[in-house]
Amino acid sequence: MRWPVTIVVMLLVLAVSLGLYRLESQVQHLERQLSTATTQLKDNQRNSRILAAELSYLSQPSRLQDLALRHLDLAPLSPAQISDLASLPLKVVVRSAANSVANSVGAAKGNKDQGAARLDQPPVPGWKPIKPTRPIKSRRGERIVLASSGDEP
Amino acid sequence: MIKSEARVYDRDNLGDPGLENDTHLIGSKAAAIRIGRTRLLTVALVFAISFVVLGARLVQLTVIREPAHSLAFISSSPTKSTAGRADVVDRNGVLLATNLLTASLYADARVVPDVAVAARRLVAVLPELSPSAVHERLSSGRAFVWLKRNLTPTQQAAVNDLGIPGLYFRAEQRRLYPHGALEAHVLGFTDVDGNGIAGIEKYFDQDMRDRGPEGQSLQLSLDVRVQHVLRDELTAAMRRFRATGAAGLVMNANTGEILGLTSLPDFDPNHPSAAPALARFNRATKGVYELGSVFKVLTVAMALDSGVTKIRGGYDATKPIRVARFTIRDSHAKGRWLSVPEILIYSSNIGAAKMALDLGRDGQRKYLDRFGLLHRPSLELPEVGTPITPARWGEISTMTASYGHGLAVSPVQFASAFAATVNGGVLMPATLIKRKPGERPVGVQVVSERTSNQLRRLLRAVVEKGTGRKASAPGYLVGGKTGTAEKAGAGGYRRKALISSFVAAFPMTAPEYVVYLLLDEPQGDGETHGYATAGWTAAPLTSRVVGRIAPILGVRPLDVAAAPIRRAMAQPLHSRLPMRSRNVAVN
Repeated sequence: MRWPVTIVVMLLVLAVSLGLYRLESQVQHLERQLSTATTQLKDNQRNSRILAAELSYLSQPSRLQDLALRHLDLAPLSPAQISDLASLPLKVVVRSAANSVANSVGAAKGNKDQGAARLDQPPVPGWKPIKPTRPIKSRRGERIVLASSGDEP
Repeated sequence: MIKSEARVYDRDNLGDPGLENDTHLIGSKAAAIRIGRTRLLTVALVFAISFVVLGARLVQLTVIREPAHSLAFISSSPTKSTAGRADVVDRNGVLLATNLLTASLYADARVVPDVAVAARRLVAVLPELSPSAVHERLSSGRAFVWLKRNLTPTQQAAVNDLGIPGLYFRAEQRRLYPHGALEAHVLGFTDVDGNGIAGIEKYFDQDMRDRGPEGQSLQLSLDVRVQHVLRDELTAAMRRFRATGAAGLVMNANTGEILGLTSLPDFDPNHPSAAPALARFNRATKGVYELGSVFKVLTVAMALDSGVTKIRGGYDATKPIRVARFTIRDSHAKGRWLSVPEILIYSSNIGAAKMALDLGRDGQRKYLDRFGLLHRPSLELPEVGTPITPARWGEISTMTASYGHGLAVSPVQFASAFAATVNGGVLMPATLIKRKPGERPVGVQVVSERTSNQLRRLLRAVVEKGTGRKASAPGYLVGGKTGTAEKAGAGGYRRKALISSFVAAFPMTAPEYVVYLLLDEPQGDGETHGYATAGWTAAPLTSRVVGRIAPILGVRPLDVAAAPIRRAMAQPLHSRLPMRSRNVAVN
């Protein structure tokens, strides 16, 4: 009578200790994860602040102006360049005229036979290879060749 | 002995050695057993208590969170006193001031092994340190010596890579202004401990501390693009005209929001002590100046609003006015009767003075007070100047104040008053904080809407036909007024030391923005024929500023030649010249 009780109790104690041990180790594991995550969060927050400050530093208007003047052909907008959709004149589209437009678009694309079939679609401007007036050079002075399309002679 | 007793039990009570049988025992044997039982109980109790304690400890360790753990977390974050301040952003959210957790380098001088080598290698990485100072500090033998505060992350990595024992970093909050001097006079700066010392930083010091670095940032009404244009153009003009200083601001005419505010020379708020004290003086808000003829705008507005004269009225400006030892004369003298539009267009001191006399001293003071020019204005900066008003406001003061002399106000204060004359007559308090979209603060109706409409046409005429022609910016319908004032020196005004300014609003059909630009002591050059007056210096500057900021601010360019706009802006001169000589060019 006494032995079974003792064994049951001992088994119970063993099970509970094992469970407790597992729980404890799980908690420790989670706590380590939490502390890692908190550290990472803090690091990321700190880094994002640094990056925000750097972004603001690098986009200083005076710096952008200097870069634009050196590398771009951009100038402040003149009033003549500003307009809106309402002030544009309406486009005059005549059926026959549209035909010729479509033809010319097709011709530019090098497939004349498709011209007539494209009447109902908006005219697509012909593909034009970019030909820079002066060769684009990389910083090290190598000439950069634009990807060839195959259409180029 | 116990063994023999046990034998006694065994013999008497087989199978049940119950303790109740003690009673059968007698004498010294019974006493010995009682002692043994007590000892047994004591030992059992001690064991029981130990197990309870161990169990409790087990529960505490596993179920209840250990407090020491969380304490370590708290102490690793910066303490409240150095927790830092909220960010400052412009109206579009561009970061203007922020807090960075930077590393500061210190050394435990007792640990550094080879001081000479360490100092040499450290200076190689941080060239701004002086080798002798580093050597001295490292050989001081103290447990804590600062080597350099607030390193950049790159510098920190470089120092770490040296691997010198005894060098440590401490995390510190540092206030950073990514745009440097661009918004210096608005933002102000903080000291090394993060206390606001000037500008917005001082005005909102407690507020920004309370919000903390992760809190909601403070959004200003500034637009960095406008701010940059203002500073860029003013810097160029200051250099070209060899001026000692310059100030300028761009204000929303209807809400009082300041989109740009510059005072030159300025300073880098990251290193405020590197600049001379003069550079830290905010001319746009703290400086008060006699602004000159720009005040005639207000004089005409007062006269028209109070009804002492009509737009068709005028004054005789044939001869200079002589009062006591003063003579009031015109710099663009016509020597004839001038109508009200002509007085403004040709900037006639005589006409303005006579207009002010008609209005009277009390009338003038009442209006100037309503325009907010007699008191310190409200603005979210600690550096706000109080106007200097005439000590004895007699007839002479009334006359000189009509053309902006004898009364000194700050540029920001004047710009607010000017905005009121063109925006429909409502004085809006100037502000550096962005208003919510659609928020219309309650202003004070200073002059009637009708007067304001008249002023718009008059100011447009000044730019079309008068002294402000160089301020014209194609498409943006600029209207404004020149102001050239002589600076007061010892024993009178100095003819060569001028404050040249131009106040403008655009587009004049429904003014959206007010621009006020001021040059302190500009010098004329060959291109201006030696003139340093506002029409030659501040007016063309205004044209460039408006031409650059208007597209940024989304102001639609207008077709100035279109009939409806011409009609809206038509301003007859009401001149009394004979018909044939009316088209004589204005000089």
